[in-house]
Amino acid sequence: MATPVIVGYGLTKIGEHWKKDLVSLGYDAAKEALSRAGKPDIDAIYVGNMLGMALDLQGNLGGYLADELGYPGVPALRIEASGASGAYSIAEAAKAIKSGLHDFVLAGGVEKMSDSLPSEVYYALNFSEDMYIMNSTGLTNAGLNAILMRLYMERYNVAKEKITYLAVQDHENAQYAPHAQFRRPITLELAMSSMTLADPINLFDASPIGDGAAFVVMTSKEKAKSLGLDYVEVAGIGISTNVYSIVERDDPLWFRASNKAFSSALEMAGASRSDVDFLEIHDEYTIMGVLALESLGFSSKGAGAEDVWSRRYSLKGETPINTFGGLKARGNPVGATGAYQVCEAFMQLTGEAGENKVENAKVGVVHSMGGVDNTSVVLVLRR
Amino acid sequence: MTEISDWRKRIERYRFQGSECVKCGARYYPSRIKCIKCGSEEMRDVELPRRGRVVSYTVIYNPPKKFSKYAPYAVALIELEDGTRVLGQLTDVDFDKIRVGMEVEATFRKLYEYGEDGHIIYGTKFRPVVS
Repeated sequence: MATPVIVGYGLTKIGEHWKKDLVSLGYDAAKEALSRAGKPDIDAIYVGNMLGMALDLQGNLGGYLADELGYPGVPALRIEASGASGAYSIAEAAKAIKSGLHDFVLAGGVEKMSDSLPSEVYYALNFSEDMYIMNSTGLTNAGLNAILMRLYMERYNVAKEKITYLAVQDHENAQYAPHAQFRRPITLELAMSSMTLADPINLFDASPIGDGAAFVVMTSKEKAKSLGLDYVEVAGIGISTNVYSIVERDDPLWFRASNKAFSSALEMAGASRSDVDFLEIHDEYTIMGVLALESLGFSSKGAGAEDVWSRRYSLKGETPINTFGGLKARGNPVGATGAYQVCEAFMQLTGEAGENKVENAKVGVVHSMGGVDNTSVVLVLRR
Repeated sequence: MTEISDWRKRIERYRFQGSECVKCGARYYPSRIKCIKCGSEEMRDVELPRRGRVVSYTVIYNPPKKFSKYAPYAVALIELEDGTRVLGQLTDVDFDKIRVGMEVEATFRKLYEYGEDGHIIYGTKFRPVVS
């Protein structure tokens, strides 16, 4: 089987793009990726997107984007797995390359959130959970995460500051990331005193609303070599789903799908946890980041927040995470987020990370979730 | 979730009715078609115990539009006396008196409504047990 590699990436700055719509945002990022890859003929397009049907009232996005990009006739598909849509579309592209069916695939994600009222956006984001439960209880995504956060604090006797500190670290890392939504450091005091969304979750525990698009061009290692293109290997792919509702999970604080996806991805890559030089994890809420670190086995159960607090995961720490600011500060344009993570891992591994550089990075891991671990995608990228 | 699908769920909500696996006894609320513990498709309706304890909770200050006029309100993860876990709103309680481990009981309440001319949706909420 062919080894899938990334040969080009493109991304837009995340924020409020008032002059751009869903497809023109996607166009900009895709064009940049295609141009970095030497403008190859594309055989297929996968576009991750969660909210297009709910907020932009636009479906069949694959075909629409293919046409705009000037590739009418190319198979193109929108992939939706909530927050994991972007990573999932890159995983599918990697499979298509691996199988030998396609030579060049464009994959990534796009999301346009700021055209809609925040109340509409927050409501649509609930669609990643069981809507019967959400509608019966008045729960929100923030509320669901708040229940997990309190459970964590009670079970392990952890102060909220140690969880929220992940937001402070994210903002620290985003300072030098040109594409990040919030490029300013924040204090823990500010994060702790921000408005309450769902007690104990504050505004600064939550990732923001923003527009963005990110794409990569993928091919096989053989093709990349023969064309003299610089590449990063997608060495491992893992995808898993969990019991949908947290009430039916044996332990709501254990992200079983993330754990399983990571194990599968490592196995495919023939790598072990100790080979991982940095991680881009899905911290849509600070508590999610902490639970991801535990579920991927980097921190032991109950120690994730303490490890974040002691800066084990800072840019200069033992295993840096969210090297460009993570979902909190780089931003979280939902269906594009996983694709941003992959682009960032590519930048780290090819020495394009500037001030955010992780020294001697050879192996990077992208962890992306749809909902609270309902669908999890893990990719192992190797130089 | 549409107004019609709310109607479809009325009995489950009114009676606080879940489903029970005939083979292994696992219970689910909301109901399931197939047991995810043992794989059996032999399920029967079961009225769930009306008492339980708060495992964790939140107070929602940033609600969906449908619930905006009720905010702030508390939502809890509750473990019922038979071990079944459910999510539900807490009612008749001061937020600063909610505690993990607090005993609560199911009560029939209005959940939300579809505007002035639409359905009023009723279901189960939980209130503290007064000893």
